[in-house]
Amino acid sequence: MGKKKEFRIPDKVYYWLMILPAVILVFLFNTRTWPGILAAFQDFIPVKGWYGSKWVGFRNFRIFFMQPNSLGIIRNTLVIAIGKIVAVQCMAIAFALMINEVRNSKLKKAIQTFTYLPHFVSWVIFATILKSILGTDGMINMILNNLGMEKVAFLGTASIFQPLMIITDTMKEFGWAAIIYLSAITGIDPGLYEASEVDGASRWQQTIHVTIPGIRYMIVIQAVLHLGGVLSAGFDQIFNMYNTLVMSNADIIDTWVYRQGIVSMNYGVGTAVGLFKGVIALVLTVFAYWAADRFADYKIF
Amino acid sequence: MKKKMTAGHVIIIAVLILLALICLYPMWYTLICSISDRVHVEAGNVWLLPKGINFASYRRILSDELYFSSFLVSVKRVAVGCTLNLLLMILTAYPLCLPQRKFPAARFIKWFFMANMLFSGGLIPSYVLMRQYGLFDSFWAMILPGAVPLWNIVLMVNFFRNIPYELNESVTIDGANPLQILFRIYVPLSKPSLACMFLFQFVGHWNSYFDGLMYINDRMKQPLQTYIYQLNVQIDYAIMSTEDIIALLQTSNKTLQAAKVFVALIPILCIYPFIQKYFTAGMTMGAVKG
Amino acid sequence: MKRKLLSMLLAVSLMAVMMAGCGKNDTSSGSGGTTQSPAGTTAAGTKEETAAAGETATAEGTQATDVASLTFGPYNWGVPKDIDYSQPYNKRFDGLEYTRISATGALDLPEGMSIDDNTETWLFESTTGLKTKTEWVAAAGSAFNNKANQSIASGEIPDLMNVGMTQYYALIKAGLIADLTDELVNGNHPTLQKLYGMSDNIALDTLEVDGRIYGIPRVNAQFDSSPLIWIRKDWLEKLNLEEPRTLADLETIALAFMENDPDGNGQKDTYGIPVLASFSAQKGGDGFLCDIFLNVGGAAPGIWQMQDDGTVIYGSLMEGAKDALTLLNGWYEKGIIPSDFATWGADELKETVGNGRAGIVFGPWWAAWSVLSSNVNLDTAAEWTAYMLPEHEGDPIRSAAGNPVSNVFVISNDFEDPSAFVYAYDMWCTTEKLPTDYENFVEVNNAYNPMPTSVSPKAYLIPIRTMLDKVVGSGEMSTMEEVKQACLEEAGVSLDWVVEGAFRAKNVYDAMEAGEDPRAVTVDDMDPVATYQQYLQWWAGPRALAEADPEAVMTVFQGTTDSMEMYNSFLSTYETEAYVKMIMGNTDGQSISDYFDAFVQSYLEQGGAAITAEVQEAIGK
Repeated sequence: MGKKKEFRIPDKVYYWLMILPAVILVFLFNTRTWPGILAAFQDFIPVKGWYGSKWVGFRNFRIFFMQPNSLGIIRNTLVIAIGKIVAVQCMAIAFALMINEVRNSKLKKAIQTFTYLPHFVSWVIFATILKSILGTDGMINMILNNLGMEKVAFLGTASIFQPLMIITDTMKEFGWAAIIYLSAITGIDPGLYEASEVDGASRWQQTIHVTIPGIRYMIVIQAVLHLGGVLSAGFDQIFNMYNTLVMSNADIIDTWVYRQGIVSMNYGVGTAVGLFKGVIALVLTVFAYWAADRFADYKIF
Repeated sequence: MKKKMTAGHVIIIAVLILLALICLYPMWYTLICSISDRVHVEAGNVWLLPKGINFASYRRILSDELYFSSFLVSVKRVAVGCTLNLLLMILTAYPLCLPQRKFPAARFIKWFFMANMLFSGGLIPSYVLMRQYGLFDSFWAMILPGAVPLWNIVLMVNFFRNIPYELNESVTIDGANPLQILFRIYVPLSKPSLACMFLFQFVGHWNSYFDGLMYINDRMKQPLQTYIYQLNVQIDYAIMSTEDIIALLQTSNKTLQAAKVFVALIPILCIYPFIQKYFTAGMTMGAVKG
Repeated sequence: MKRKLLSMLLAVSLMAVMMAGCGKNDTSSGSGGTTQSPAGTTAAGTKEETAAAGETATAEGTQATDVASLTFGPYNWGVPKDIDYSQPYNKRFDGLEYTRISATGALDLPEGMSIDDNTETWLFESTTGLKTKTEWVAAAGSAFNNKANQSIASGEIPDLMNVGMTQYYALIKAGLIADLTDELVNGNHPTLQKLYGMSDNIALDTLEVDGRIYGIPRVNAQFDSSPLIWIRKDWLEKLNLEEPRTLADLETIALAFMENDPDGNGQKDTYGIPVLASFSAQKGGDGFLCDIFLNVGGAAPGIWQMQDDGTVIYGSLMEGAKDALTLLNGWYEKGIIPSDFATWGADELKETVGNGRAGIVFGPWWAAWSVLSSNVNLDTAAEWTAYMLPEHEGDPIRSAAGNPVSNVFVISNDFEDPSAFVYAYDMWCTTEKLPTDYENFVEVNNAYNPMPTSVSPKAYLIPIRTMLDKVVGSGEMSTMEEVKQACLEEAGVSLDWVVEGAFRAKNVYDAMEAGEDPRAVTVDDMDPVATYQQYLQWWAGPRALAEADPEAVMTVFQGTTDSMEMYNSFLSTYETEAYVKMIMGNTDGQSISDYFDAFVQSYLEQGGAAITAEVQEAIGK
């Protein structure tokens, strides 16, 4: 650093002052709740606190992992959650790129507004609509019937339940997820487009060589941030749509925890599952951070 | 800029319009349910057009004094909460976006934040803490716990990183301090991203009901969504007796459920166009005009 | 670099110390999860508490004051006239204030009333002297439950809570609620003791934990939600079908409805019997199949049964289930049960009936408000009757009687006199439905009631039986007062509100007898639809129950055990899955009998046996 004549507060002091309020607030309102994680290893009785409750080792974890179907539940959770992340993000990116090509601004705004609306409809209502459309007497089966095809019990067939959850969630969420990509696209330096135009690039080539690289970092970061959610497959959706016939393919960790909670008000089991989810997410995030750094030379944060 | 519509464009527009229509249907369905007779809705008769049109549900919501008090609480919450969120987000993101050598401690702070994103002690410890801090029945119970939007900070750090660091250095040499750099260079250059973050935070504050429900006992101090969340009763056959169930069945109401989606959505529909202009500007306008 | 790290660590640790310090201060200043209170000690010392409370009551001057001069609420309501407060069991607690929480968040009150100042709280105070103060209000359902569970978790419960069994056990474990054993068992509370005694004190036994009872059970009428068989009467007449007497007749009717286009829309689009994949006899409801199992083969799915040799068995594993499953499988094969019934929920069921696409549906005696309500509202020609059917003509009928305990009133250890609520509930159950002759009386939703009353096990049966036998039958009674008095004598507690309902319904019955259109009748200021709903609720439903006079089937164990906590979440879905598969005939080529045996085997192996052993032990206590 160059010499300064007058006294100047070092930049690092500014940096610390800028960051301290956030650190303190996070510490006060989140880090201080961490002792609660100990409940995962206790027969937790809230009034007795973490000191008074009985220690039970890994019993709370065993309750989950000793379920005859616990592996199936984890598999369902992973398939549905990863499927959703991939599908929603891909659809959102494709949508953002497509809408970027629309030049009629009224049309553009209308389409954008319509597509983000379903995000605000609750799954209770959404499920009602879907059940009616997909039921054996629903719209789709009527069409199939008219075409002379066999009726399909969409909601009662285990093998198609998972794709169905992924597709319906994508329909509901892609418009909202695209907002972040739209803002990233807006942030791309227009100079880059002008330059490529001078080079005679077509719109398609511009998309491939300018737009996508321009939002690549956002794609990576979204992927990494969503890794934290690979064990959360969307309780509301599954809970409102599953039924006995598809149970083997539909039961996810969160629905299991919910049903477990009905049997007993056991906070330990819920906390144990939360801890398990957190640890998995941490491992995945660290791995993704390392991989992005190592292979793409990109620091996520 | 004038260009001919290519076949590609026609296909894209067709696909987009189709998508928009599909996405519109759930909203449309909710709307027609909210203004139909509840008996028709419960019989599954309402599909394309409302039946037995009436505005009883809206009248019920709007005639309630609690609606207005909680609406004001929500407005205040959004105003205070979003301001604080954005401020903390910008302030926090800036030191973290700098090259490692400028602020080495950032590394640890980032992992501290990451750990806090992934792990939480859960509801009960938070509840106990809020009690300790004396935040029960306080407006700040809805603001402070979520005041640092960690997730958005990570995104913001990345938006900031996209801004060429040379700009930063050139101003530093002119003697500007980090705060000046942040607010004179980074913030104006990040308008689209800030608009996007603002939208997320607006919606987040506007839609959250759980903190209002848990930490606020005085119904006049609860936000709109907490009020709306409680417009409908859920009948719990396991614990309610027949008398209670019959009493509640007569008040349960699917059209009310639909109406509340709309009542809650209106502010978001109002604010969206203002936000939207920041990221529909597209490449022709050029976002970077500082 | 190292120095910076050091300084940062220093800063962080400094901060940590700061935080810890302030946390400590806050903790010591009370509140939070640390308030242990003299919880354990009060639990043991109920007797002293009671004695002390007696003094309080005297000190407040209750016994000295002339109760006739006491008034309550803005309309100055007096104490109920028909209670003799000189009785030792009618102790009043004037001036004693208690806190509660309330699940009335979604309901409206008439102008001028508030949560602590409404018809129910005035009545409660005039009857018992207890003054209500509500800590908070939330809507019934998840809003209320979340908040209530959180307050249990943090140990800050109100003085009075109305909880379910799961919360009851959690509260005992946390040592938050008062032991009421002596008061309930040995105290002088004749109304309550009579109510519990009517079902052999099974409610009190259910609440027992290590020999102690920590709550006042609220008991309900039997067959409260037994799934009756509701049939479209107008369709029966249209297709010239006989009334059913057995389940085989029901099958014939269902097939006729499916084949012969009863709604006359020219399409074969009528369902036979839409049902839900719900089997448990713990609590019936719309679309439930439990009574089919009870009457065909005698299994009692979902509840615990005592066998002749004194061992308990989980009802879903009873051999007899095979017969019912075979019958249901037959219905499924014939298309009587919709092919995708397992994906249906209560909403779909209500829609199907509402649209007039089904003429047979299982629902409780008050189904007029649930599964039938859309149909009755939309189709002004629809008429319904209810039945309970045996497998063979003349067989006795069995039905799910519901849980021994519907919910529990618990009293915080911190409340100065827990026994006050036992006295209060005793008086309240004696009188609550009586004093409607107050000036400016306006009925408010029952959810505002601080302690919803228990009713006699036969509450909904006695009045309709009296009506059928003595009013429309022999004709020896005619006025409402006579019937009210007769019911009071038979039940031991007042059933006036049921009798009033039955008399409203009788208007529709009379019209039917006279050959008039039952759907055109109006009573009081109700429209024809509401009047017809009154008829379905107070006449058609209870009449079916009264005529069938079913044998009550109840669980012998309503609690939870360690193994249940471990395995129930899996086992309950496993059980439903197996049942549905057998009904649908997806039995991997095995006969239903073989498949069922294999299911029982594997159910027991995967935790069922351990649970059974624990329940056996718990019952033998």
